[in-house]
Amino acid sequence: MRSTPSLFKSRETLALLAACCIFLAMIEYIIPKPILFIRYGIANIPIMVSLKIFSPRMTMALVFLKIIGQGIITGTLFSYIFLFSLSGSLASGIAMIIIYRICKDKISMVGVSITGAFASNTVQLIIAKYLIFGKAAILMAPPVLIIGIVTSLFTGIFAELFISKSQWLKTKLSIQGQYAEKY
Amino acid sequence: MLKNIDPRLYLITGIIIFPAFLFTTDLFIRFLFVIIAVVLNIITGRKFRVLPNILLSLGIIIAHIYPPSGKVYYEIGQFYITQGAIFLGLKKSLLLIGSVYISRFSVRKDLVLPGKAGALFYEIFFYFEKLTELHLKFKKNIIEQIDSKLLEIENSPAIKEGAKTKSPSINSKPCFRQILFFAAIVFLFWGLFGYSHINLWRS
Repeated sequence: MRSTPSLFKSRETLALLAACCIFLAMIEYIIPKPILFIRYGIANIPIMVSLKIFSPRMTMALVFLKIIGQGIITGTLFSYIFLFSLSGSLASGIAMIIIYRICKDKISMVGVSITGAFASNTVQLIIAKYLIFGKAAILMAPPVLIIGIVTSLFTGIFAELFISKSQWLKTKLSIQGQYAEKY
Repeated sequence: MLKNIDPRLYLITGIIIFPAFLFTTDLFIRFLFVIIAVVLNIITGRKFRVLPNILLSLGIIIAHIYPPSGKVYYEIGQFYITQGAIFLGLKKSLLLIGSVYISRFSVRKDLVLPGKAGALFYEIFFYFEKLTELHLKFKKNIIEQIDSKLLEIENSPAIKEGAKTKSPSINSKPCFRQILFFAAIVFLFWGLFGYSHINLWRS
């Protein structure tokens, strides 16, 4: 079996999607949050898009680039925030890849998004318990997880719409199709 | 004085001062470190917002009310607000806030990483700058706006060429005053750290 087309292993697409992650993270930073620890997770949309065109390894590379790029842009690379970002993004990235690989066409991006958010919030709550809040973190769990599911629902809907309407993605997928036919 | 400084100088300073901040056990000294870090952020052009930091601190302190320890300050029903719990909450919140501001001071947007990773990050930040040219209008179709920008980047040879160009290195060496400024920061952090530990040994 041949591996993913070289185009999809290309640095350009990876760099562009990583830039999109950072751009969306910046938009998320600007959007006001009603509750302090709430994250909308819109920076994960390019990661969901990448599931369609990248191999799991490349998607994980994108997750790493998103984490480090975000850390450099916001300057939080050496702070506790980075630790939360690293653990949450890694957990959500792995969870999204696994669920997408197992279910493929049986799951929509809404399902992928909710799975990722649940994994991310759970890991971050565990870290918050040991590093900052102690046992009180358990009290935060229900609202954080419920709000996480709600916000990830909207993020998933947006990702699904983007995947179905994006001309840019269609171009990428058509090249991938041409490659598959050729070989 | 603080313009056109090699971002590596910020990074080196940050790496040197961070252990002093991290390993200090004195609450007052840690508070001073946070104040200095915030001031450094402001004078070097980074933003500082008071309210989120206050809310974060309050959240952490409230989370540490239980279990009570030490002198009781207030009694609210069955809850005791104690000195030990407040100090622990304050210590953790200062650690969290301080690490954010020291990190923001140390890591600059124009930081160029070495090697292949550096070239890749240059490419990412180049595309990021191109994406920031997109002024999203929330009344229009957001997906279409992002999609057309991605197509524009993808189909423009000039943009792709620009992304491959090696980032310009900062040629101007830091002047004496700039070096003095960063040396003073290092001296201040480690001086305060040393002072707090001398007091600790004496007591």
